Amino acid sequence: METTTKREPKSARDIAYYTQRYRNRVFAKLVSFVADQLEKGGLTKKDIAERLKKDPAQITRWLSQPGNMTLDTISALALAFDAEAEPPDFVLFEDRTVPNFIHPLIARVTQTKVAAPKLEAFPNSPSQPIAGANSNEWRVVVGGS
Amino acid sequence: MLPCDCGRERLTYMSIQGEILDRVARQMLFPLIPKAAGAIIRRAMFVEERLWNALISPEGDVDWDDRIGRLRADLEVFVIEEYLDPKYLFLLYPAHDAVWEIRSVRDEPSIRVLGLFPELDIFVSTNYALREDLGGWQSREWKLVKRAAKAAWRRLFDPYKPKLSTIPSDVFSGATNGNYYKARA
Repeated sequence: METTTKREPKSARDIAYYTQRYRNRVFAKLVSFVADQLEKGGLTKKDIAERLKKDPAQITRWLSQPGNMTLDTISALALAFDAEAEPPDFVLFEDRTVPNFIHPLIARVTQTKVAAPKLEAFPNSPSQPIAGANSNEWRVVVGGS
Repeated sequence: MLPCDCGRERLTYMSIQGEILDRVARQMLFPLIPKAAGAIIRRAMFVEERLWNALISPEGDVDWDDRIGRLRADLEVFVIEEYLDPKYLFLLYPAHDAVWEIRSVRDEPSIRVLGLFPELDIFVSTNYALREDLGGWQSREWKLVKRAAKAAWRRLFDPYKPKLSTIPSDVFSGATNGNYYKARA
């Protein structure tokens, strides 16, 4: 990759996308953890609220939307279950591995597409590139499948 | 049309997946593939042209870019996440319409993306609306937007019917506990 590429400003859309993506992923993990712990028994939402000296409605709000989540709420919720969250991992895009699962229909669709540009930025991309993963440009092979 | 033993042509039907692939080839639908490299694609989502055009619209307006970036990330939740929550994906009343909504609530304006399931774990987004334009649940605007979703489905797939169920696991995997549908009097 050329050095100039690293100096290019990131677009507002990309910044918003990755911000929200990260928020969604952390939230999904948190909700999954809490649901799992509640299912295993022992604690209820009311118990969590009592342990954290919060209103039960506040616990519901925390778990209702990613937008309500902060690092403090993650830490507090984990603590209610006598747990803590590990710090995040940081992964360079170029080190990202190939997805280990692709929905069969999407796999079929990607085979009907011509490779999207800029895939060289992802050296670990599959031999049959996922069209559109890095570009909004789509070109369709005549006839489909 | 294929020749038939009777000497006339007979109609042949593709599977619904074949129909989807055809609509993709004709650029009536666009597969939503995670923008971030390496993401697992657990479920399939296909987006209609208007929403797709919004997702790929030219960049420039900071507020618009911010909202569209977040909307795309929210839509990708359906594609990549192991578990889905009723606050994210919800079956609209009446259930027999089989129209579901995905909620993208951050930041304002809140957006509702409507769509239907042709098969398990395959969602076809038919249209979208700003929540502030829809008013209360019984409003005319809500009825219109749901009607538009059904009309878009018919335009795309008639005579195929969407998958119809109030049980989330019938239409998508990974449903967390919760109320995905509210019956109304």
